[in-house]
Parts: sequence; structure tokens; C-alpha cells
Amino acid sequence: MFAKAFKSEFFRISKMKSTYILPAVLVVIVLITNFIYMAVDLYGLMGFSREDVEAIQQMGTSAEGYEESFMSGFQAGINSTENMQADSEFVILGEGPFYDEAVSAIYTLDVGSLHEILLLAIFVGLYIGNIYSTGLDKNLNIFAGKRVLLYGVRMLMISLYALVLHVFTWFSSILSAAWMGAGVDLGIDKAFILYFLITWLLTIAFGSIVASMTHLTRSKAAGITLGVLLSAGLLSTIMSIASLMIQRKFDLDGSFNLGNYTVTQNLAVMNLDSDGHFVVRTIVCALVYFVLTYLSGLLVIRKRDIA
Amino acid sequence: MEDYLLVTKDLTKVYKETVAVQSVNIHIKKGSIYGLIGKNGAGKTTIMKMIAGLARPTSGSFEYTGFKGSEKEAFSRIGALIESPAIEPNLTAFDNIKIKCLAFGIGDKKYITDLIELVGLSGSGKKKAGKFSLGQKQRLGIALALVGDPDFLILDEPINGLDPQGIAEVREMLSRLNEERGITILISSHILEELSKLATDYAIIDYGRIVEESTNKELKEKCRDKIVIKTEKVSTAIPIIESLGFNDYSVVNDKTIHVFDRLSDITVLNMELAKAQIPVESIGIESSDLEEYFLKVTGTVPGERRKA
Repeated sequence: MFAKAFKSEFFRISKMKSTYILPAVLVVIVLITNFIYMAVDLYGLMGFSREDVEAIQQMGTSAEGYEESFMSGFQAGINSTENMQADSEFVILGEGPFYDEAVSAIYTLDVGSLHEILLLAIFVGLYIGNIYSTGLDKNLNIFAGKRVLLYGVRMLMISLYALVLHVFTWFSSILSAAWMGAGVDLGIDKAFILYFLITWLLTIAFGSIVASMTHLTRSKAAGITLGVLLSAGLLSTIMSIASLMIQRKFDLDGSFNLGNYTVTQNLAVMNLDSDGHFVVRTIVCALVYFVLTYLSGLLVIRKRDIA
Repeated sequence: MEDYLLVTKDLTKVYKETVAVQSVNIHIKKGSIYGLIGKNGAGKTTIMKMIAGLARPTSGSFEYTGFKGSEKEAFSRIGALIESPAIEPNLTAFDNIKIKCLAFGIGDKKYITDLIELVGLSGSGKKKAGKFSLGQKQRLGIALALVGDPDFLILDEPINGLDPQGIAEVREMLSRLNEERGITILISSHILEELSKLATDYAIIDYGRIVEESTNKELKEKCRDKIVIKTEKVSTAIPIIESLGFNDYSVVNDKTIHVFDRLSDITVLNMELAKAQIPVESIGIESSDLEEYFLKVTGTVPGERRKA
């Protein structure tokens, strides 16, 4: 029964235009983003030399060097103003901040930009929303007593599509490195594989949130809107205010931030150097969101009439 | 005992404060074409949804017989077209059917093309279902209901939107499916004239309750032109009726007799009953088609709707 449901859903997805358009859009967006970070001389535009930036970065990594780095940056700013005044001509294209980074580092930039989950939200909204707009499940009364199975298969399809988008992002990162970077250094190591898997898990959790909202409201618009709001960080202000309120109410230190427990922020912030504590917190977050939204969606499906 | 495919027992569905279906008991015989007659909002669709496994009854139950395993297994032997056909507008008829076929484990292309041909959509080709006419959508809905060669077909207003030729074709197709494949069919329609050409059994539903359940023969009898005699002395009246040579009559209950032949002799019959000092409450000729009968049974005056 599982295999039959899988084949049917796979065929349905294969016939959706968005299945093909969204990865293509993703590639274009990632290439444009990477063009800005790899082929546009952002530092030069700001008047920094690469040496200035490296010095700032090195000093900035230690608490002791913070003040020094700030001063260096301040000085660099003064220099840049002078330089800009001195040079009436400047070049836009050149070596961007990620010009000579490994593909794995470019990939963290691309995943952290949240384009992938934005497009995933659109896909999930359309895929799940179509069930309600067309009344598709009325045809599948064969599964009437096995709704859990059908729900599981659909979540599996979303997870697989999230993987497809994840892989497309990676290919786009490779393509960017080849076209706009110093060369292709894949940089595949343990940290990258862990990063790839955890961010995939986060993406699945995000897909589950959107799917659950779509099931709950029976509306593709509602699911997509939520996905867009979350991926565009439009709820971050609310999250910051809520964090401040919680800090005050429970007398917590300033480091407490509700955003640390959201899928989107973890996805945006996580990188190849994230420490163990961060990684564990992220995995737990992803699992909690996935389980909660999966179960709530399931509960709704089980309780509610199909038509 | 009749060989029933489906029997419902006090099937009830309540939506918030609204009772959509109340204590419905219907008995669908294997191989029959069961017509469900009722006005809009009478509860026909809700009954169909419940027995197709698409909606859960609030109370009551239904039982499928002749299927292996539980009623969940029976759902896999049911084909349903309820309310509007559930179709993906961006897909062709072929692809729409294929989605359901794959869920049933059917991967044969010929199976799909045969179904398309059966419902008369062969010419639709690569046309997207969203651009189909209402009638074509209905045909596609019927084709979808037929996927998996069901034993029981539930069709909610399947001839909606079809032109007269389309209605005749669907009627002929359903008759063939019933006769050749032995498929039991539950069908609802507003076009009672059409339903009467097809159904072997009927249930009339009004305000969520079954008002009457009868066979086609019984219903035709009720709709036949007849002399209706209302009297307290039915047993005394019978010999008089027979002595006058009326052979085709039936005793409906202890106060009513229906006489079906020689309607023009109503005056003679009335006189003879009076001569025999049989008190006749009323005597008259009644004639009605299915539609009139339906309106009478549901207490609706044509052009009016009864207040809730």
C-alpha cells in the first residue's frame, strides 16, 4: 500500500510545473546571490583592502582584539573615505568576499540566505493545497482507513523534495565557484556532511510547518504566506520583542533570544564552525518542530472528514 | 432474506448545530441500482460521503457484506463521484486517471485508455481537464470512480451538466456496467424522470430522514393511474369490486384500496359501493409521475419549499 501511494504521489508531483520551475528559480537566485558575494568587490566599494578585512577578521575573533578591531575598522573607514575622495574611478567587479572560498563555505552562505526554504514553502503550499482545492482525496477513498499512511507518504515526498532543493543549492554553489570564484574546492569533510544533514533536517522541519498550516487551513495561500513570512524573517521583530519580554519577566541575561529556537534563525546562523552546543540545540529544535507539526497535522487529518 | 450489499443502521451526521442526516436506514441489494431522491440539502450527499468512507457518522453504523475483511477493505471496492469531480485542472484526462490507477497498483496504459473510451472522452487527447466542459468533467469523474473495477459505484448527480445525448449515453453506460459487470450502483439525481429509467430501488429523503424506501415496481404502482377508494370497510368492499369485474386492484392498508383497471367506470363503482351501503370516505382518480409522487411524499407544493 505504501509503495502504491508513493508511486501515485510521485506521479502527481512529477506533473506539477512548480516541481521543475522552483529548482530552476533557486539556481538563478543562488547564482545572483553568489555573484554579489564572489564577483562584486564589496570591500573595494567600501574602500577596504583585503588586508584590512583580514586584519579586522583576525582581531575580531578574540574578545581582547575587539576594541582593536573596532579601531582598525574605524581607521579603515577613514582611509576608505579618503581613498574614495582620491579615486574618482572605482571598479565594481572583482574579487568578492567569497571569491576564494571553498564550495562548502559558499554553500553555507547559500543555505543561510533562506532562498531554499522560501521556495520549499511555495512547493509545499501548492502540493498540499492542491489536495484541498481539487478534492483529490475524494478519489482516494482506498486510503480512507489509512490516512496516516497517506499523510506519511506526503511528508516523505516533501522531505525528498527538500533534499532535491538542498542538492540543487549545492550544485549552484559548485557552479558559482567554477564561474565566479578562484576555483572549485569542494571542501567536503565531516563538518560539511554534518552541516548538510542538519540543514536538511531543518528544511524538512520547515516544510512540515508549512504542510501542517496548509492542512489545518485547507488553503495553499495560508501555507505559502506563513512560509514566506518565516523565510523572509518578517516575524523576527515580534520574536525580538517577545525575547525582551521573557528576559525581563524571568530575569534572564541578554543572551537569551527566542530566535535561537526557531528553524529559520538556526538555518541562517549555522555554519561549518558552529560549536557542539549550537549543533545539538539545532538538531533538537528541528526534531521538536518536525514532530509537533507532523503530529498536529496528523491529528487534524485523522479527526476531519475528507470531504 | 435479501442479499444486501449495504445496510445502514440509524446513520446520523450532525455538523455543529445542524442535523444533516438523521437515523437513516437504507438497504441496498447486490446488483441493484439504488436511486436516492431528495431536494438540495436533503442529506443525499452526506449519506454518500459516509458510506464511501469520506465522512465519519456522528452516530449509527453501516455494514458492507460480501467483502473480505472490515469495511475499510470494502472502501477499496467502492468507486465514488461525490459532489464535483475531483480533478487536477492542469492534467489531461489520462494523467488524472493515472494518479488514481497508481494508487490502486494499476500501471497498464490500456486500462486507462479503455476507461477514457468507456466514458466517451477519447477525443480529449492532450486537453487539460481544467478546460473541459461541465459534461466532460462529469465523464472524467465517472471514469475516476470506475478505476479499480469497483463492486459498488456511488454517483452523486452524475448527469449534472450533461446534454440530452450525454445523459442517454451515461444512462446506457451505467445500465451496461450494472448488467454486464454486476456493479451495484447508488445514484442520486434531480432529474427524476431519468432516474426512473435506471433505478431498481429508491429511497426518498427529506430533511435528513428517509421518508420512503421502495422498489421500482412498488413505486411505479404508486405512480400508476388508479382509482383510490378510502373506506373503513375494506373487507366488505372487496367482493363488490370483484363482482364488478375489476381484477387489477390492491389493498394498500385497512382504509385504502387502489383499483388500476377501467378507470372510466369510477361512477359505476361508486354507485355499487353506495348500493351495498359501504360508507365511502372518498373516491377519485389519482395519477402522478415520479416527480409528482416525490413532491407529494415530501409534502412540497410545486414551486414552493417547505419551511424547516
